[in-house]
Amino acid sequence: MFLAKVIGNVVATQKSPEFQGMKLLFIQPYINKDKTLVQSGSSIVAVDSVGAGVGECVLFTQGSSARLTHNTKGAPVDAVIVGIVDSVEVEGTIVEKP
Amino acid sequence: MFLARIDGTVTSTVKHQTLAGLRLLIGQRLEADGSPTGDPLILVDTFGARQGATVLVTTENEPLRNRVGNTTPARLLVAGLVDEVFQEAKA
Repeated sequence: MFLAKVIGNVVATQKSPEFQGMKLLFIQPYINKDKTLVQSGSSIVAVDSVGAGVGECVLFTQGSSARLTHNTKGAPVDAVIVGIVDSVEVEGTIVEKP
Repeated sequence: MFLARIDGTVTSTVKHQTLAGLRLLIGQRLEADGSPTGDPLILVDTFGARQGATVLVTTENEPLRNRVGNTTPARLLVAGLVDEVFQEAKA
C-alpha cells in the first residue's frame, strides 16, 4: 500500500459496465523524504472504497489485490483507495500530511 | 488506472492471434496538469475512442482474457471515456 493525496474526481459516462456506481478519484502518490511527504510518480485514477474526498491523505493499493475489496470484486480495477490517513509518524516525528 | 490521451490508431497485419479483430490505439499517459508522461502506449479499445479523447486506462486485462483467452499478451485496456476531471484549485 502507498500514501497519496486525493487531487480530484474523474467522471466517465461510457465505461466498462463493472465500473457502474464506483467513485473514481484522481490521486497523487507521496513518499517520505527527509521526514516530509513529497510528491512521487505519476497521478493515478483509483476506485474509492472508504468514502474519501478531495484534499484527503489516503492509503491505496495497486495491482490484482485491488480487486479484492467488497466493491471492486469482478471489475477490471487495478488501483483502489483502502483507507483515510489520520497521521503519519516517521522516526518519532509526526510528518505533515500533503 | 490512469488517464491517457489518444493520439491515433495502430494497424498491424502480422500479430499475435489473440489480437485479431481488436482495435489498437496509440496514446500517451497524462499527468494531473495534462502534460504527457512516459513512453507512448498501445491500448486495446472497445469504446471507439477518438483521436484527442481522454480515456481511462486499466492494466487489469481480465475482460480481454475472458474474451480472447488467457494467452493474450495485451495488457493495457481502455476502461472508459473520460468526460471531465474535477481538480482541487491550486493554492
